[in-house]
Amino acid sequence: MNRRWIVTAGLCTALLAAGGTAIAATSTSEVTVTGGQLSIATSNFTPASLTLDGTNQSIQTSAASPWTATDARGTGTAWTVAATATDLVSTAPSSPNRVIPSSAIAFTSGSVTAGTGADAATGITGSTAAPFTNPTGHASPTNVTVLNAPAPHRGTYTFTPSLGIGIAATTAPSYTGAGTAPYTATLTVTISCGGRSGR
Amino acid sequence: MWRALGAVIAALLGTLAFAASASGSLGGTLALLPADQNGSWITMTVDPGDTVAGRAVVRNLTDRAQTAVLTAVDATTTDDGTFTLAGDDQPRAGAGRWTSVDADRMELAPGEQRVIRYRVRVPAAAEPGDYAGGLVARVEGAVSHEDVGGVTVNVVERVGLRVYVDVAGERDGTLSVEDVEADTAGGSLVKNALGLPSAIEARFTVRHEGNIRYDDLRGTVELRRGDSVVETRELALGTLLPGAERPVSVRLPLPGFSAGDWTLQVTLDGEPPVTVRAHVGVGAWRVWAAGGILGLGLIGATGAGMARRRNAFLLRRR
Repeated sequence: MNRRWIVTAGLCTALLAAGGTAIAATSTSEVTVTGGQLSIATSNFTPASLTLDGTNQSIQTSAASPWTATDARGTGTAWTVAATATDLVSTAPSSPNRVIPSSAIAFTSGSVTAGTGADAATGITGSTAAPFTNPTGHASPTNVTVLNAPAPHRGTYTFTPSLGIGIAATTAPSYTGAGTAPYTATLTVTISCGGRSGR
Repeated sequence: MWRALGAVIAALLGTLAFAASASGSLGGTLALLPADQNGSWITMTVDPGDTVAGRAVVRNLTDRAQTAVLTAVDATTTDDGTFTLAGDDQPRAGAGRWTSVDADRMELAPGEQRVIRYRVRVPAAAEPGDYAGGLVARVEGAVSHEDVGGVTVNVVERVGLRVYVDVAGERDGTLSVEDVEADTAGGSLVKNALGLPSAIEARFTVRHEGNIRYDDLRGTVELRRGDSVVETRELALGTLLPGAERPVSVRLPLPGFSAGDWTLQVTLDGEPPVTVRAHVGVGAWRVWAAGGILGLGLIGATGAGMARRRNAFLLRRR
C-alpha cells in the first residue's frame, strides 16, 4: 500500500515537472531589423541680388531650409557628402558666353545637428568659406567637401549650407532678353560611403 | 509687362539677381546599394583581362513615380581629402570607364526598387593596383530653373555606390614629400620689435607615386631643435588616390628666443613610412643690430668718458 502511494506520488511529480518544462519552451519571439540606406535631401537657396558698382563684391545666400543627410544603414561605417560646381555661364544667341568661374563660389557647410537618437555630430567636419577647387586637374567641375562623417555617425543630421559668390568689378551683367539665359551653375551634391580600415 | 520692365531696369543697372533652385526640395529621392554583397559598397579583386558582374538595387524613396538615371564614374577627392565620385560628364580613365550597367535609365513607381546588373571589365593591359569609381543615381529632370535675369544655381542630388576594383599584382605604396618650403611669420609685439618671428609656416606637397589607395592617410610635422622635438602637428590627409598629390600647409609656433637653426621633420604613415627633413634658419637681424648699436654706444660712451677725463686732466695740469 505505502509502496503504491510512493509510486503514484513520484509519477505525479514527474508529470508536473515535464508540463512546466513544456510551457517554458513555447515562449519564443523573433524580430527582424533590416538596414536602410544612405540619402541626402537638399533645398533651395534664398534668392539674393547685387548691383554692380565698380568694385569687387560678393553675393551671400543660404539654403532656404536645412539639408538632411541620413545614414539609415545601421552599419556605422564612414560616409561623405561632397559637391561639384560648374562655372556660372550666361548665354545669348550669337554672342559669346559670359562666364564667372566656379572658383568664385565659396561653400560653407554650417553647423551640423544630430537628429533624435542619432550618434552625436561630434567629429563630422565640413567646409567654411571653402572655394570650389580642382584638385585632380580635370577642367571641370570643381568640388568641395560638404560633410565628412567618420564612423560611426548613424541617424539623421541637419545643416544649413551657404554660398558666397565673388563678383569681380569687371563682371559683365547677365544677358537679358529673348533667348538668353542668366548666369547659371549646377551644384551636384553626392553622398556615398565606403572604404577599408587599416590604410 | 512688369517682367519686361524689370529686365530693362536690371540691364540698365547691371544687376545680378541671384536665386538658387534645387531638385533637393523633393528630398532624399533615391537609394543605390549592392544586391549581392553585405555592406554599402562593392569590392572586387580582378585579374587584368577578366570581367566581374554583379547586381545593385535602385530604390525610389518617394511616394511618386520618377525616372532614375545611372552613370558609372571615376572616384576623385576634394582638396582636403574627402573621397567623392566625379561628375557625370567628367572624363573616365579607370574603374568608371571599365564599369557598365544594363540599364542607365529607368522608370520607378512610388516606393519601387529594381535590380540592375553591372559589369566591370578590366583591360588586359591594366596596371596592378587599387582603382576606385562607382555608380551614381540621380532623378532625371529634377533640376528646376528659376530665371530671374541674374544668377541661378541649380542643385542636383546624387547618391553614389562606390566600386573598389583591385587589379591583382604587385602593390606599391610609395609616397614622396616634395617642394618643402618654410616661411617665418610674425606674432607678438615684443618679438616683432626684435625682428623675431613667432611661427614657421611650412608648406609641402605629398605625392602618391604608388598604386594602392590610402583611405585615411596620417602623419606628423615636427619642429625640432637639435634632437629635441619642440612642436608637433598631426596631419590628417584623408583619402589619397594613386597618382594624386595633396598640398599641405602647417603653422608651427616658435617658442622663446627663436633665432638659430631649426629642423622640420615630415613623417607620413605610408607603406613604407616616409620621413623628410628640412632645415630652417631663423635670423634675428634686429637683435644683432640692436646689440651692435648698443655695443657701439657703449664703446662711444666709454670713449667719450675717457676723452672727458683726459681733457679734465689736461685742464687741471694747465
